[in-house]
Amino acid sequence: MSGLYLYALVEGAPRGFSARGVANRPVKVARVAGFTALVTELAEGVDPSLKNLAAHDRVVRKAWRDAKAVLPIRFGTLVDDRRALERALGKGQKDLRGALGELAHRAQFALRLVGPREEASAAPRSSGAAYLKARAKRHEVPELDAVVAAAGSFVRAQRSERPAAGPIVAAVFHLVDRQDARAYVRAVKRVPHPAAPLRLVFAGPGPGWAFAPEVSA
Amino acid sequence: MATGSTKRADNLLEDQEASLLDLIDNLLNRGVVINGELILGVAGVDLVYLRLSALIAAADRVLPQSREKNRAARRK
Repeated sequence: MSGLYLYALVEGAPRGFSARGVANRPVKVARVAGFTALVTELAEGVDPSLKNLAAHDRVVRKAWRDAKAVLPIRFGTLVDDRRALERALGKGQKDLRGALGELAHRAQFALRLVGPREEASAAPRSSGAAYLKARAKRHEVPELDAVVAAAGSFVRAQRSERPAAGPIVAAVFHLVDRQDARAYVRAVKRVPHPAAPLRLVFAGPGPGWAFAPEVSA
Repeated sequence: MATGSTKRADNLLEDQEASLLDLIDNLLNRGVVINGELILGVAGVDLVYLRLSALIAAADRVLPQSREKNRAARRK
């Protein structure tokens, strides 16, 4: 499986951006469908090793530090060629441009709750209202209400979720102006965090992974 | 172009566990997802995610001890 391996779409990348990417191959800057994409030409698919994950992360992070806006692309995304990439980006143009605009000069922080999860009660099928209520709860994280309230004035956008499985019980992602990052961290650290057995794992600042749209070719 | 505040903002939180969790959750679970004619290069990504999730759960127990060891080493 060969093609173009994708890392991110960028806006305002400095001239001469250079990095080593997955499989220790060079990263190239490609201008496609009015976008600037960071890509690596690969002769075969990428091995999902921790080394390659770290390489993908390193490229996206470097771009985020140097460019005005970075829209990260999920690990493992490979397209056949420039034409396939052009088609995909062309169809998702409006959403992608909107997302790049939202991410310009901003940083993502992640507030993840790790710990034992409560047994989820199955949504009753008999009532549509109950079902919708249960669905809405997947995006509610009351455990972090105090933290969210304390940091609210710095938050430009928020996403929250309760993953159905895995070690993360719930997560809230904040998009913050880069210039406010330090003040945001102080505000989050000032308020009491959720009590045991839950634990807050606080990460950032970094690229806006949680604020990327889904694009269908 | 990077500004002074950007560079300063890059290292606000230094936590091995948070970095690892962030890396894995971000890369495998988020970002632009391109469907359709394009190929997701890693067929077993979900399985990889589950495997790495287990690693994170294990790291939960290991990392605090590692941090203590590092602190103790620095004090010497």
